[in-house]
Amino acid sequence: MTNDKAPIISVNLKKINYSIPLRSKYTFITGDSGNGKSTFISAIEQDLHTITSGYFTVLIPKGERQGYLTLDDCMHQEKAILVADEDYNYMHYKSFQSLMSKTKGLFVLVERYPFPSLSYASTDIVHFDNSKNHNLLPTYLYDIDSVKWEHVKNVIIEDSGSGLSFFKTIFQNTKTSCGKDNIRKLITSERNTLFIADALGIGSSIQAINSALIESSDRCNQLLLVDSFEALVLKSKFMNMWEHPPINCSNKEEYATQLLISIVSQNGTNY
Amino acid sequence: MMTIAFFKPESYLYSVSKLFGLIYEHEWMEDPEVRQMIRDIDNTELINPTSAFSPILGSISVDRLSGGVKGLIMIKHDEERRTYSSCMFGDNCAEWLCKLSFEVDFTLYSQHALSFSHGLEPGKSRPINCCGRDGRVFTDSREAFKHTAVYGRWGEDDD
Repeated sequence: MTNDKAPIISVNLKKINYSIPLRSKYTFITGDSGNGKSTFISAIEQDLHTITSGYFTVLIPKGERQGYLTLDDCMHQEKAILVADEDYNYMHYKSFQSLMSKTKGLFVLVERYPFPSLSYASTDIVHFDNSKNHNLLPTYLYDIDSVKWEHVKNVIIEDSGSGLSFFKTIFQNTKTSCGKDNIRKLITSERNTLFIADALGIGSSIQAINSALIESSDRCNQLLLVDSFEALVLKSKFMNMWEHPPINCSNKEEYATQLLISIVSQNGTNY
Repeated sequence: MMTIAFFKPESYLYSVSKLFGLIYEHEWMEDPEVRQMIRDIDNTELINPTSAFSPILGSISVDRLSGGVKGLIMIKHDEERRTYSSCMFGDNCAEWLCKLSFEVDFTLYSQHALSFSHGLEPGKSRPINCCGRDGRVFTDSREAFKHTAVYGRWGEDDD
């Protein structure tokens, strides 16, 4: 099964060109100061953008101008893309985040603040980057072939539910960090360690982890992001039964888990 | 000195995007350091106290400077508001935050992983005058970051 088509928001002005495919329910725009994040939102506010796949944008909290009084009004609009700039402090409240997870539409939020109560992937964070300073780019890896094995003496995985037994058969010296939030702390104290974490649910921690990698780059630690262990199994040649979650899926990790359980309960494990 | 707060302060500024235009004073903009901040962060040249020239946006009001540079200007000159959320500052503001830590007293409420050593070669750090949890004082930006990585409760403080 393929994902329903990801809408693309584009702003194409004389000197400003952004095109952001929204592959998930939440898209977070981040980046250095002065890189045009608020300009992008201003362009949407002034209707200087285009959007594909029949979606439409609603600015929070200015949606009332567009005929939407509150977020509640937008909750059942599957084609709504709710957009907020970083000065909308209310998005930090868990009550608002709870409403977000129930909303059928998509969200584009300009925000550096992490949202641990929402499940999102590292790939749901879009960096606006005008910098030519490439040592500032995200330092984590998605491809196991990119790992510099000559630097690896230890392996730490996110938690015991992330395939601890599996990775222990490959790396005997494997431990767990007991949660994604501990990874950033361990990166500043460990050396020559390969950290392996689930990409699908690490969104709220990834900026902290990336900053820790940059600040501690002389420690030769690396972070390898794999899709959740369940997604890894589903995608493998062993099963080859991965299905992309729908765009408005609010928890991709849970989706992969449920899919694996469903396939195994229907077909057993004799693949 | 910059004091890093790890728990929600009684009051703090989360964003200065709109506030700045209402309160800034022309004399703030005449400070050569402010001119340099605007150049460094926004790649924009201040023309006069109310307008600037950006190579991308053209002639703009100072209202349209980035949130990060407005925050830095307020840290330097607004004596009334002294506590700011880290979230208004991109990592490219780190150098100026470190400089300002030697010039004025302010509190940075740590709400995200702001890297103080942004832009430096791997393994390098910059001087900082910073007070962390339990009064610990840091003079090295990497040590200050490590402290925030250990004690930061990012994303856990609201509601």
